[in-house]
Amino acid sequence: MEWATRLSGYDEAFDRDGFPREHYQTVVESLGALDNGQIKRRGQLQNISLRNQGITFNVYGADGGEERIFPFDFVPRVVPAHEWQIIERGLIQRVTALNLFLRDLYTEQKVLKDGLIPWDLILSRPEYVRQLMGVLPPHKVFTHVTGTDLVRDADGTYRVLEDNCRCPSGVSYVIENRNILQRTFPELFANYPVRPVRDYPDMLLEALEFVSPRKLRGGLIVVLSPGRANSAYFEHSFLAREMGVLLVEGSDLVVDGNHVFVRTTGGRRQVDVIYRRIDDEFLDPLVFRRDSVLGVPGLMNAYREGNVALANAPGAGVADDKAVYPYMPDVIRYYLGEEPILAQVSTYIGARPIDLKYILDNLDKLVVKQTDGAGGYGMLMGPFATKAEIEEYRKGVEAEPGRYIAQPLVEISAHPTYLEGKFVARRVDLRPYVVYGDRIKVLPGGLTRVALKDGSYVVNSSQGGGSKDTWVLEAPRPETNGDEEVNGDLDVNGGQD
Amino acid sequence: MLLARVAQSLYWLGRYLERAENANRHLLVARAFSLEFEGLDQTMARAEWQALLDTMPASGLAIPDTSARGTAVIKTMRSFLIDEENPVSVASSLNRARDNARTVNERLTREVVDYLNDGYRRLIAHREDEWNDAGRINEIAEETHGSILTILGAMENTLSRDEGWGYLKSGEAMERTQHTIFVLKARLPIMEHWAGGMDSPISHAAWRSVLRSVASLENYRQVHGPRFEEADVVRFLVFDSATPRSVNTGVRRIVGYLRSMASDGRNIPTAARCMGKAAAQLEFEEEEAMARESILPFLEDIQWQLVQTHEILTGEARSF
Repeated sequence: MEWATRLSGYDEAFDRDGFPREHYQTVVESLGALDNGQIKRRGQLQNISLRNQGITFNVYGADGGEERIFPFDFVPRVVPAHEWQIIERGLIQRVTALNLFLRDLYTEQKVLKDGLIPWDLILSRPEYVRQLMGVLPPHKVFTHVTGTDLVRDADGTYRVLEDNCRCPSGVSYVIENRNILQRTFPELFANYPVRPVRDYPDMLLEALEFVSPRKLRGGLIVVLSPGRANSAYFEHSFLAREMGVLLVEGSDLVVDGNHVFVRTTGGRRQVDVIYRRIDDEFLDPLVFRRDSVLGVPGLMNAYREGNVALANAPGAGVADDKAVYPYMPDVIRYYLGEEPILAQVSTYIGARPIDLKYILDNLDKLVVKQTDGAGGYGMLMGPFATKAEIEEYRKGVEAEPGRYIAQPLVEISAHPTYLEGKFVARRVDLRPYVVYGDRIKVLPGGLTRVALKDGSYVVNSSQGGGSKDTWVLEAPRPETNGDEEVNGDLDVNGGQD
Repeated sequence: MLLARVAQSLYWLGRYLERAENANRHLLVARAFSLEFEGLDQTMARAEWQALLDTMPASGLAIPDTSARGTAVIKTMRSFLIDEENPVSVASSLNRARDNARTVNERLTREVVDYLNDGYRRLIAHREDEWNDAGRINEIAEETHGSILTILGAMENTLSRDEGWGYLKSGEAMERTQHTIFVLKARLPIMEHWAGGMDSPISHAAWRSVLRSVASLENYRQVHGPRFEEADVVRFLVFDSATPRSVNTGVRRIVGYLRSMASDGRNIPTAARCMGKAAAQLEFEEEEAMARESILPFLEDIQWQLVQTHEILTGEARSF
């Protein structure tokens, strides 16, 4: 079967001459050997599996809270071990720095006093929670789960596009994509040492147990969800089920004497750790939004008193604000005294007058984002926008420049994707997940999102994106004495001939 | 440990699945009986549909004209299978079961979630022309019945026997027991009305249909052989302690599940007392109830206690 033309920029699977890269060779051969009928049947099985397991997401604004399958493309993204080692080290470095930064922002504020980041930039961020000044979470961990979006530029260099320090979603798809691919294309796995991703719930549970204020065995951990109308509800119930903990909504919890309790059929039980999938502003109507019915009145008092751990910690969102992002390389140098391992994308900040002028003069060449925007909403793709769209957007930037940042269009990498009977090149990003408990661990895999529309650079599910299974390959084992290995095998198998 | 909200959803999940299974089976039985008698005795054929509609009055449907070349029957079958406006249709019950399952997904296994969604999706995926084909509708009903039994089997074989199980199964037992009572309340007046004028084969067919509509024909035969006397059938469906769909078995099951439930000391004991009284009546008042002119007042009494228990169980979430 034919593999389609490359887009401009880096192709994950094929080199400049159109030959499969070494780590893609077997995937390309195996998939190329299948005919369209076989692929179609397996695709139908995939869709049935996705629907039957309820692996769907809700689209806000769609009719009746429409539930859609997150489209899954079966061509896996393969990340060789040597590339992953760099990503892993870079993410550990970055998450370490992010947590030191957050600890500093809510205590001494040395980074502001030393002038590395302007005071007004931090203090004007809605994600900066002044009420939590001086309040440190258990073990000083702010971001128990971080999802960092990476893209690959035209040279093949991985670059951080943004960090997600609040409630990064998508990890359930990482696990389910692997399950589905193993069911429908088992032959693909035969020749690859793919590192498993199914232990993520255990990783997360360990991290949550680590921050429990009461060091009792099996302190009570719950997942707090806004409820089934939320776009990521499947993931909330998935994680609760896989970790074997309660899935609760705000109305299931009550605060009494600055302790949090869950209402059970057997009466109230004290809660130790809340893995919350609710944004800060909805957590506690007594502190944040008064009209919130999703949160728990008094929760922040219990948190301040150290009686309950919240993961991620409230106020952590300031670290992933798009206006703070340009300062991250300096933040890493400041706290760790190291050069950043992972590059990022050059960024212009609307709040900085010189940058603002550049942004306004080059709207047609830049990708402009709202600092508090997410999911591809509220974004201007300058090179693809009409004049009218640009002029309309300009009004917003001029009115509130502090709400905007801009970046040059990155020619993000492309990956073969099966669409309408052909393998075509579509742009992808990668969101690995970093869990911080007693130490920082990176899940060997991640959510590869793919822009299914031809020529599109936007990979978000809400904007028509899909996802892929991401294979991180095990590093080749060092050479050992062959005789010893054979003996070991004999012992394990109970003595073969 | 179980959230009060989750307990209630599990209870309703059990009820709706059982309701779907009851409606599906009862529909197949009514269709089979009506086919057997359409050419012989239109009144009997219509009476079978009447019994179905009386058992599930919420359907709001009229008795189909069994002589109209099957069109009206097809319409009724379609409504009972797929019409989500019909609150007792199989699709409606399965969808409500899915709604409840979605809110307690973390308490269920992958198998249960998978088969539940699959069963519902397969049912609603049939094409319009299939719904107009009398033969195909029968097949769809049989396939759907198989799907529902698969879901129930997955639950039986994969879920933990914890407190949540008690709520799930008490919902199932509540729905099942009430269904058996509804069947008897709908059938007995019809059977009594015709008792004098019915030939033995017709009478036997009618009693077989009653027993099949509560999945008890084979179990009944093991106890009473090929004889179908009203007193035997009634005694079997109300008092037998071995058959899974008798009123007695249902009530005792609920008593057992109530014992496994935690309580803050207010509601569960009240429900347990209520069901304990019903269980005692079923154990000690059998002869007295059977000696009366009609068993129906006795069943009304049991049903009243079931309704009270249901209200306590579903009010549980509100009481915390």
